[in-house]
Amino acid sequence: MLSTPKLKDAIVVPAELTGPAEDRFEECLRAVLETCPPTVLLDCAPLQRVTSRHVELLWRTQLRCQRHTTEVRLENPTPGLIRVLTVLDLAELFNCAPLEAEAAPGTAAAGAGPAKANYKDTFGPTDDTVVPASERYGAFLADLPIPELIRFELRTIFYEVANNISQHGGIGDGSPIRFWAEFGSARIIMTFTDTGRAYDPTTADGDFDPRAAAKKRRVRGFGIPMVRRMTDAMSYVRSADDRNILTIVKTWSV
Amino acid sequence: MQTCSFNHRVLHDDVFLIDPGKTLDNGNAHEMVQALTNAQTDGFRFVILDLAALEFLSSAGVGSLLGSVDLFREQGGDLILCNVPAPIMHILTVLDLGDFFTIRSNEHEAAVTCGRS
Repeated sequence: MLSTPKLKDAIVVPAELTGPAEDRFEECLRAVLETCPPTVLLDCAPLQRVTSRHVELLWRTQLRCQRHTTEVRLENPTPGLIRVLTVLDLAELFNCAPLEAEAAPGTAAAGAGPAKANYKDTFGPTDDTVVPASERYGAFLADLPIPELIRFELRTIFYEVANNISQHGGIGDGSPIRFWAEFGSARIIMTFTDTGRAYDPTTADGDFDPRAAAKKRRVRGFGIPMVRRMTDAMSYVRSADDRNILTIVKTWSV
Repeated sequence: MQTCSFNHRVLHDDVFLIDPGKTLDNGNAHEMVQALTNAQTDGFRFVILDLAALEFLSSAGVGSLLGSVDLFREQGGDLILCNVPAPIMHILTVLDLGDFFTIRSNEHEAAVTCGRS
């Protein structure tokens, strides 16, 4: 009698890609692949913050499984991971439902009700364009059923990230910052892409000491801590074509 | 007295009031630092910031206040915020600055904190 290969228990993808954690993942994967299963399940629940190393790990796993004619499926993918895989056109490869297509530039999706809406904008990396872009995003948010303080936070997050990119990304005027936002179910996913210098804000320190900052007369460097404290999840990927892709997830209770 | 690009008033010999207007962000944060520095060098021990009209406070705006507050505290004075709108207070709270800054509900209470009424 032919035995049917069973689906194995999901392999947990570690959030912290330290040597031992990554080694354990590789050992588990090797052991599972030796049984020639039709499918390997990867539990992605720990990936609240997605980095390029996570994507590389998933990609390597995909290639190894392809060599064994084994399918890879992601279990419990976080919104940030889905967003990153969608932007990188990898969602379907991982059998992971991609997020919906974006709306027309600078507008909410046609026909979208207040419970669900998408937004897209493109703007140059200068103060002259970041402020109007922030105001456009504020106008988009104003039409959505979002608590006032959350709306204020979302606009602040946009302003801080866009300014950070425009001031420190070293981007030429001809290379715009692209922004997507997807609203639905008490959640917004915001994605910024730019061609500036590689910078991963998820590795930046979110803490700061007000007393020490005041003592040192420090007037800058509060943007990332502010954004970190206002967001629920943040992921960063440096794409193969040298783009920074920053995805931010903000949720709230209804 | 040196110039101040924001609306301002002298409340007393050593108390200066500044109204930053609707926005305190990258566009005018450096002007706020300059205004506070000028007030301190002009001999004002206290500056009251009336934030009633403030609609947006960026991290640069926060930095302009945080980087200047000890100018006054080291001279026995203070930088006092009053009429802080809820969203602005939320930003300060998110950054754990709600207890760090001296915050009063209105100009009168701020003036009392400066020893004036």
